[in-house]
Formats: sequence, structure tokens, C-alpha cells
Amino acid sequence: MNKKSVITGLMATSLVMTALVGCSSKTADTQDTASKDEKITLRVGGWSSSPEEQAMLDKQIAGFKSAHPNVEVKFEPVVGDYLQKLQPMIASKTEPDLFYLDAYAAPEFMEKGVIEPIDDLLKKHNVNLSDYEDAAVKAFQSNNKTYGLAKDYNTLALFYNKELFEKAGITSPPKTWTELQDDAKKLTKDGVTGFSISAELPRYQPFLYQAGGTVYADGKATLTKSENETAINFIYDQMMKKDKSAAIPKTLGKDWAGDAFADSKAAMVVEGSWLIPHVAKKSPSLKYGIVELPVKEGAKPSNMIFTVAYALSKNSKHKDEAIDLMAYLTGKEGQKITVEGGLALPTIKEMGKDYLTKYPEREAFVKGASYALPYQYGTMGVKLVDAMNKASEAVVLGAKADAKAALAEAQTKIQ
Amino acid sequence: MRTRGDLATGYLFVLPVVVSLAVFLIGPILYALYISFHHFSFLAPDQATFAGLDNYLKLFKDPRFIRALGNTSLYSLGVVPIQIAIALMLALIVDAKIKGKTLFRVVYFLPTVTSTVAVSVMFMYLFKNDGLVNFVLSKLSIPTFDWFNSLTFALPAVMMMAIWTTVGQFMVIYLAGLQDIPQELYEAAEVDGATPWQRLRFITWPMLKPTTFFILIMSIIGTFQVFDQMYVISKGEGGPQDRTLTVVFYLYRAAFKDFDMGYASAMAFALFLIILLLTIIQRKFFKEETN
Amino acid sequence: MKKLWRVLFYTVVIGYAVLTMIPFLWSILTSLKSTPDMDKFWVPLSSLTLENYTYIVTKFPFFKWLLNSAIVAGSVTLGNLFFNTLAGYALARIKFPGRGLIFYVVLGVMMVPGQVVMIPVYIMLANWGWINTYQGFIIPFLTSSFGIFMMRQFFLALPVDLEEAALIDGLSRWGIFFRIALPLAKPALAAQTIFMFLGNWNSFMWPSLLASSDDMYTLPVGLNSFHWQYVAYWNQDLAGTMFMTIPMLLVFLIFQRWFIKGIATSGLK
Repeated sequence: MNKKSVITGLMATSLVMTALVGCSSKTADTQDTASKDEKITLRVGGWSSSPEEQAMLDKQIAGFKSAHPNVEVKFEPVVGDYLQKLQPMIASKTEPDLFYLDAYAAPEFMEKGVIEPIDDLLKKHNVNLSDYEDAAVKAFQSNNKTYGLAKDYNTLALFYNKELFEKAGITSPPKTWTELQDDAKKLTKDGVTGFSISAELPRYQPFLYQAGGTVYADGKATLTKSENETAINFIYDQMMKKDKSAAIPKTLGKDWAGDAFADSKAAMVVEGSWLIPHVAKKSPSLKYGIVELPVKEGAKPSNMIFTVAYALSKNSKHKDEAIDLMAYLTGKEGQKITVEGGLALPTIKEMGKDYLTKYPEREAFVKGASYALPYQYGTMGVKLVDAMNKASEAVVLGAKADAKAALAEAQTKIQ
Repeated sequence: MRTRGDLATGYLFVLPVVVSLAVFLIGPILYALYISFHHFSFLAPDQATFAGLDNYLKLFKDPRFIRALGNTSLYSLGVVPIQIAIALMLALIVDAKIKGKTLFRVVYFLPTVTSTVAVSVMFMYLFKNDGLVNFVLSKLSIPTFDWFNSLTFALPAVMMMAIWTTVGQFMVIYLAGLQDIPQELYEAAEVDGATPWQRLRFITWPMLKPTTFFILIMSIIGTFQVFDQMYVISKGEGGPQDRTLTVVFYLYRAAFKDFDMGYASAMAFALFLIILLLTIIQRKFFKEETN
Repeated sequence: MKKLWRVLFYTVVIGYAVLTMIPFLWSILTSLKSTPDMDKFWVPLSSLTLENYTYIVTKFPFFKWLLNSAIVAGSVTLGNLFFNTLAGYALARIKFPGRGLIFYVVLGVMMVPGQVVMIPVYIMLANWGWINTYQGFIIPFLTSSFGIFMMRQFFLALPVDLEEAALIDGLSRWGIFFRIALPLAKPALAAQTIFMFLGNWNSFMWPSLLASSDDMYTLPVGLNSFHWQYVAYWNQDLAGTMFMTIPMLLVFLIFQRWFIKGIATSGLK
């Protein structure tokens, strides 16, 4: 097809405009002529999820700079939708040298060959993949190539409100589905709801897998597998609609379950360690515990791992320095700061112990990682998660009679 | 009317606009049109393949697109007339000789000044399950709803919000339009003993025709392309069971979440055709006189 | 009867004013609450605080953002006023071949959702090196179909008599435009100023795409940059909103004065 001529046409128009406004066009990357002793600049793209996280990254970057005085590192946080900005940046070849990539979005990037495979560079710079948590490494591998190093990760756990438990006369947090159901019933009174969980796959998936379900296998969506119905029916129909001892956060007037927990509107929620700083900010005096997710009677535990890696731009002019920076940020020195910050867990296996020594009460997250699956469903991730979210929501809102009908519709949406 | 050298002056007057439109809109739009006939992703433009009409044919078979189009039409049908009626009413009020005119103008304009995102956040706050609206309703023993999370009320709630926010903008346009009407027409009507209603019916309304045409077209374009409010309110998810999913919202998801720019572009041009058709109908209806 | 009408009239006038005020007042109140109080319905007056405002002003390059916003919204507004008004006038009053086509193109480009042209325009600007620069924020937005269309409609609605009289007096087209048409178009110019300023002052999508360092953020981008990923702190957001709203209210307050009767068409004929 005549793609070139269209693009040429566009560019010709651009040139006319450039002449008209009389502006000297200066491309963003003029530093490629830099000689060895000159300072080079590495751009790092990402998002800033909180001032605390930003401070941690600043510290990590400062550490790298003091060891590499000839490298300037510029962090460019994306404001607004991250992928929305990354796409035009990649299309115009102006993406940063290193940039954040969520495991969930990674397959699309790896498959399209948009990012640089780094195996050779890692070898050259003596980076050992076996130092990293396996699930976090695998999330960024495709066709036997590695495309990024995970900077940190999170898993899910059950948060429970100790005071409300005491009031309801419950001595220990639930370990099984039956206990979860019974405890939730006991806790539901005086404006408190026993259990809150949003109608989203990245919260209920562990329960679904415990019951023998699978949503994605061998590159295909398996939403209509009959075992998938069990968890959806249990949480969104039995507990929410029949027992009325559980609710989605919106019903409680909240954006997310963690906020309902912080305000003591829900006694138990399933969240990751990101909830901890929120509770500290909103309800500093709240007493709560964090335990592993309840497991269905006789079933194996399940969890999910949320992780973000640094990926290397194909267009980077300083790939060696960029790999150095990547290795530093995700290596022991960099992740020491991650551990201190306590917002997420370190992906270096060895550092997991340091995390536990510092935060023994958060053991559940580390334990969860050992049996967690990455939050990733090939290139159909966006559609699959969206369909599964809507399926569980359909059960809560009564738009579909039961999980079976909702899942049948979800499967058709993906094809 | 004509003066010497009008031809040159005319072209000179429109030149900057034409250049700017050509470079920043028409060029990119033609490129998008080209994309709409391809399986295309900006992540890998070199892997694009010719798709013929595939992307367009897919629209007819995609239940989510049909739902989005239905939502959008319903939204437009509800918002446009109410919006215009309220805007005209408010403009007449703040144009009349009333006490505290400036204050009312500012107050009526308040919702428009606030950014869409802020307004959406505000409305979520007011309409959430334990928000102010439900608090007041429950005090009055009226049943309450979880508005933005309800299959029935999510779309009407967003419509209410849209009307509330955009009415101020159209009020200002009407207000400016009202100043164009020569006073002596009213004076003459008064001499003839016309009632206020007759003055509105036979002077104000006909004289406002170009303004109304403008407002109507802008309102149709605006409602058919509604995106921001829906996006913020549903946190990018499309609302309960896609009840507030609109065409542009779905297009946005296809373009920036699924990286399927070909399909997104096809949706854009389908929407373009719909709006164009509605505009042509309007124009016939208004039979606008240009000089 | 007349009295009843008056009562009814003022009920509507004041009733609607209350309706537009409540959400606004509510957000001012929320912006004054501390984070632990954020979701509480009633809080004692004494626990209200300015901490959300001081947080924004002291912790971020707030004044730089304000300056960027003023520069961008200011120049874009001026450019639009000039170019749109010229074009709108020509499309309404001057007859030249291609006029109809241009008008349809002006209308047509508005009907294509902007989301599909975003990336091509971005690539173009990136090729020119305009990312993270003022010219990138300003030049693509110097004209607007909305503004052109609006000005055309206003000139169409304006009685043509005065201009014809001026023509007979031998004034050139430029003279007619600047000395007759523009002064008459004051209300429309005021409306356009308000909309162009508003649109660009609030604009988020483009500035967020085009800015890559925090010293180039405009106010809406800056205020969104400290959003937490998982959590919305509405009290802080709404405090930020107030910073956005006040300057726009001022612009409105200044220009709404131009919405006055008094077009001097009387005395003609």
C-alpha cells in the first residue's frame, strides 16, 4: 500500500508549516554526538503514584548518579493515562531510554517488538536473572527473550479490622471460605459491612483459581470453564446478595475497598500493601492485621503478583548506560531503598528477608508471592479483564441471573 | 454587498485559518481515514496490513459498539433540547432588568467555569451512595439510589450533570446573541401593544435564529462526542454493565488500551457520518439565509 | 396576577441559582477539610484548615505552573480572537469562490473525534522538536472551528445596514471590518474571549501529552501530577480546582460587562 506517500504528504505539510512559522526545528535527541568525557543524559519515563514513591525514586537516582558522575538522569513522570502517552512517544521514536512497563500491558509490547530484548546486555553487564523472583522475571519474558527487569511487586492479602473483630467476638481471622462467610455475617452490623471486595478480576481471581478455575491458558481465554462460576457465585451472589454480609465498595459510597476499610465501613478487604500508607494517612489510629487470603476447603492457596519493570527503548542512544541504570535501580542498592520505603516488595530474592525483618507483620505478602500468578493474560489482557470485571458486576447488579450466564456473555465479548 | 478587492481581502482573511486547519486537522484526519482501512497499531506502524472495509463491517457486528451508539443517541436526545431551553431561559433572565444581574450571571456561569474533571468528581461525591443527594432524599423519605452504579440511573445522572455544566456556556452565547437584536424593533412592538410573549415569539426567537443554529449544531456535536465526564465518572470502565459507555469512550479504549487504531478510526468516521447527517438535516430545517 | 408572575419569576431565578451554587459551595467546604475528615458529613468549623491549599502552593512549583498557564491561555486566546474573527467575518460577509467549501470544512473537522488525530499530530510536533516547548502548546491551537463558526453566526445575525452605509461613504473592506464590524461585535468578542480562555485554561489532554518536565506543566497538568495512583484525595483535588476556577471567574466577570445593549443601529435610515 501507499503508506509512504501519505506520511510524506503529512511531513511535507509539516515542512510548509515550519517554514511559515519560521521556527528552527530542533529534534529532541541532539546528544548523539557527545564524546566520551561529555555528560550524557538518560531519560526515565514512568508515573508517580505518590509523593512517597517519588521520593524513593529520587533517592535511587541520586545513588546512581554519585556512582556514575558522567550520567545525568532525568525522570519524566507521565501525568494522566500512561499508555496513552507512551504510544505516541514510541510512534514518534521519542520515548525515554528506560520506561516503566506494567506486566499486564507487557505482552503487547513484547510481541510487537517495540522494546529492546536485553539478554545480551544483561550478560555483558553481569546481571543475573536468577537473583530475581521467578514470577517477576517470567512476566517480562516472551519467546525466550527478556524485555525488562522488575523494579518491585505487590501481592494480595486479607486486611482485617482488629477492633471490629473483637466487638463481634471473633478471635482469629478467617482461614477458609466458610470462616470468611461466617465471620462476615457476624461483623455485619451497626453500619459495618463484614467484607468488601470490588467486582474486579484482579481482586477475586485468587478465589476463582482456588476453586479450580482458570481464565487464561495456552494463549486462549477459558472464561466459560464451569469451575469459574464457583467463586463468583460465592462472593458476588451468596455473600453479597443473599447473606448481605459483603458489598462492592461503590455500595459503601467508596471508590475502592481500601478506603471503606480505612473508614471502618468494611471489616475485611482484599488489597495489597498500597493500602498501608492510605490507612496511615486517613485513620492513623486504626488497628488491623494482615493475613494470607482465606482458602477454599481442601483447595490449594492462590494469589496474584502485580509487578512493573523497567523496559529499554529500541531507540536509546545509550543502551549500555541505560542497562547500568536499570541494573542499579532494580539491584541490591536500588531495592534497599524500596525495602526502606515499604510501599512494595523487593524483587531480589535475597532482599525479601530484609523486608520481613523490617516489617514482620507483612509476612502474608511475601508468603503469597510463593504461589502467585502474574497479573497477565497475553495480548488479550485488556479485553479479558474488562469482560471478567463486567461479569462479576452483572451478578452483583442482577443484570445476569447467575455466574454461568454472565461468564457466557463475557466469553463472547472477547472473540 | 461588495467592495473592490473583496476577493483578495476575503482570501487574506481566511488564510491563517485555512493553513492552520490544513496542517493540524485536515492532514491528520486524512491520515486517520487511511488508517481506518487498515489493521493498524501505532506501536508497530510497519506491520500494518490492508483491511478493506473490515473495520467498518465489524462495527455492525460489535454489540458493544451498538450499545455505545445507543447510549450516545439517548444521551444526545435527552441533553440537547433541555440544554437549549434552559440556556435560552437563563439568558433572557440575566439580560432582563433584574436586581443583582451581574451576580446571577456569575452564579449561573459557575458550573461552566469549573473543569469537567472537577465537576465529575463533585457529582460523584454528591451522588454517591452515602452522599449529599441521598442524605437529603432519605430525610424526605424518598427512596435513594446508588446513582452512578445503577443500571437504570447511571445514564440519566450523567445527563443531569452534563446539562448542569454546559448550560452556562450556551447561556453566554445566547446572551451575546441577544445584544445583536436592534432595540428599535422592541420599541416598535411596544408601540403596537405587543405582549412580552409576542415579543419573544415574533422578535427575539426569529432574530436569534443564527445563534440557535450555532448552539444546536455545537450541542449535537458535543453530545455525540461526549467523553470526559463518562471517563471520569466510570473510572475509565464504561459504567455499570456499559450503561454509560459512549462511542468516543469506546473508541478511546480501542485506540489507547487495545492499541487497535484501525478500528478506533473506523468508529470515528462512522460517528462523523452520523453527525454530518444530523447537521445537514438541521441546515435544511433552518433554511439559513446567508446574505 | 402581575405580582404572582413576579413571585414565580424570582422563585425560578433564585431557585436555579441555588442549584448551581450548592455543588460549588460543597466543594469549597470539602477543600477546607483535612484528610481524616474528608468523608465526614459534618465537621466543626474549628477543624477546617487551609492545609490543602498551602500543600499545593509550597510543595510544588505552583507559581511556575500558573505562569505557564497564563502564557499559554493568554496567547492562544489572543490568537483565536484575531484569526477566528477575521475568518468568521469573511465567511459571513465577503463573497468569494470557495467560501462555502471552507465553511463546510470548518464544520466538518469538528465532527471527527479529536482522539484519532492525536497521535499523528503528536508525531508531527515531535518531528519539529516542539515537545515540551511553548510553541508546541500554542501554535497548533491558535485557531478554532468553534470560534470561527460562532463569529460567522454572529456577523450573520448583525444587521448589515451600518456596513452598507459605510461602503457608500467609501470605506474599504479593512476599514469596515475594523471601524464598523468589530465595535459592533463586542458582545461576540467577549463571548469568544471567555470560551477560548476557558477552554485553554482547563485544557488537560494536550498539555499533558506535550509537557515532559514539571517546569513546563500548565496548572491542570501540575494539579493532576500529584494524584495518587490508587487513592483520590478529594480535599486536595478540590483545593486545586479552586485555583483553576478563580481566574476564570475573574475573566468572566470582566468580559460579561460587554454584554450590554446599545448597538447604535438607531439613527440609521
